[in-house]
Amino acid sequence: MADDRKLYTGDDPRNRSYPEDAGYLPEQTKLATGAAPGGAEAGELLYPEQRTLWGDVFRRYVRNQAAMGASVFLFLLLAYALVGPYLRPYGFAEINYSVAHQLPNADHWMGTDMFGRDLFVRMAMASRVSLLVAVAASGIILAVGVIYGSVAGFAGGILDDGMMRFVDILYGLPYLPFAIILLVILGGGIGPMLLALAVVSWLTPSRLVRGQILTLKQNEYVEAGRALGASRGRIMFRHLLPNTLGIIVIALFLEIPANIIGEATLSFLGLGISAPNASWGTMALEGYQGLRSHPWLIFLPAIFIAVTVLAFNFVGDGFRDAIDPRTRETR
Amino acid sequence: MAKYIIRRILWTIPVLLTVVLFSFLLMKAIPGGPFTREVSLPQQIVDNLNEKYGLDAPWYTQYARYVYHAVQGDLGVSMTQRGRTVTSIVGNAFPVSMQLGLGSFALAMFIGVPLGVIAALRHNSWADYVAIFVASIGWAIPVIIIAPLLIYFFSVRWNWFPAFGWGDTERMVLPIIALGTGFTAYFARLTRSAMLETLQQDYVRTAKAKGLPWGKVVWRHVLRNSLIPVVTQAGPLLGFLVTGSFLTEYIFSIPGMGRYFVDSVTNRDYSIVLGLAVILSAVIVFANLVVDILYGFLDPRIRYD
Repeated sequence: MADDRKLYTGDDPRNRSYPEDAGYLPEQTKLATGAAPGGAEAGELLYPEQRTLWGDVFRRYVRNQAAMGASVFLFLLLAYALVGPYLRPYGFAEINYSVAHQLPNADHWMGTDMFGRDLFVRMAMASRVSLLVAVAASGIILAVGVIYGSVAGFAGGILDDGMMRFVDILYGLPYLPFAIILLVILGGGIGPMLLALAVVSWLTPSRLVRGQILTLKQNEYVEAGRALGASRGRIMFRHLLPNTLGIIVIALFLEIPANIIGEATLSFLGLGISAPNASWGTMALEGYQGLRSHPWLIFLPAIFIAVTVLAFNFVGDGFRDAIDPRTRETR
Repeated sequence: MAKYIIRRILWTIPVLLTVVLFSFLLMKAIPGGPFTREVSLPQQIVDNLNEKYGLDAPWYTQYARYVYHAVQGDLGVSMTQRGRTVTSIVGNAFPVSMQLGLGSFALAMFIGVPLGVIAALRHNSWADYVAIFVASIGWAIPVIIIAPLLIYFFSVRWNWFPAFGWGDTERMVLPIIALGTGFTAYFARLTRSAMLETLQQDYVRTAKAKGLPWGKVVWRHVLRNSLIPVVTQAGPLLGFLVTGSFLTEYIFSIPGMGRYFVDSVTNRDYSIVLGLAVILSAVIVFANLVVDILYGFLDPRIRYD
């Protein structure tokens, strides 16, 4: 691309920021900013533009058509979920038997269900709930996983051993039965749903992060930091965690579709979200019940769930390829 | 190697004990007991029932008792279906779930893996793109979507296969496809990326350079090394298949463990729920054990950590 190498204009923000934190820099570096070495004039090509890791990631991501298409779709979906209910003059739980079981038409853009509820509005509300639950659950899972994994990896020794044994044990728990039991104990609703989704799922991220921290700990710059007297906290937050950000972002985007399916599955079993509230799972359940006579009711949530999960997978794969091009499947 | 296997087998004991403990405590936490009725029974009767089923003892005594009986194959009696033992219910339901799970697993192995191999060998050709596209979609559609769609098209619309029950071959077709599609797609993707990575290796180039026929290179050098990650994923997946069959069994009315589990949770039949949770956990732990041992054979580095 044309802007890969830039002319040195003397006005680069990076150069301006040098004097501000000059205290950190050795004397020689400071000299270099005043007048460029070798008597270079402003406007002369001095060095190729410094590319940051995340700048590179962004450039590679934008070039990935599947991931970009998926991103656009997800933005549209989000807009629909937020604005959709205000576009039509119906309530999401408003029952009107005289218009039951309509296919999409001018009045009801996505048709109506067996109670005559407008599916355009209802689907928007369901999208809100499903997306909110999936994103929140993924956030909780990653927060717990990252904290647990980084503590274990950073501490090492007996603590690490014990913490990882605990994770090994929990791996023996079958996910769905325990989520079901938890929902039965706690009753339905969004809060219990989040807990049920998160209870076993944090194990994999915690293993991932621990592994990454263990590898990073071997690096010379960590040793150098320690030799210079950096505190454990500083090494953790300045040197180790930022380097795990890549795998955390990837894990986030792979976790979200899994939780969309998880929420839909539990709601489909009649646990978690229940009528009159809507989620993709409850809508799939209603569609399944009316399958024989009114297949549209299952087609609609089927399309939403499948396309959204597909889109999140594309975004996740796109991020993974952008962050670490070596893993790319299509070379 | 023997030491590694023994250590691995011994490790399953504390895992199973803890898993049973967790299930046990969770079960205690469910509000309402098996003798909670709409019309409340006299206190004396409830006390007698609790005593009969050992529910009056402290939880650790109940737990110890449960484990003691469970290792002898006695998982207690059903609290709602009179005269039936949990072991007999599990004994009826387990083979059904097993058939469903293994059928889907076979589908994933015999369709997913070859699909991945073809995609990798025809990398960046139309065959590759079709395979990847199909696999992405297959992986994105959960059972709760694919099962109703299969029922609608193949059962309601075209009337090719029955939609409910289990037993005859024709009743098995739709459930196995419903459960197996996601895993087939997953195996295809996994095999493909593992193959692509192996194809880049120096030893593959060497084998090619010394004049080995391409088929032999693929069979001896590429496929074997690519299947290691597939095998390591297959174990956890086998466990997931057995649990993942919950939805399939629920939707297709199959009398397997998942269906019994969901029914028993609603009926508050503690002993069946607990028994099924324990059996499912044992299946997962066992699957992981088998994979770890297989892994030890396939990748010698693992044995010496």
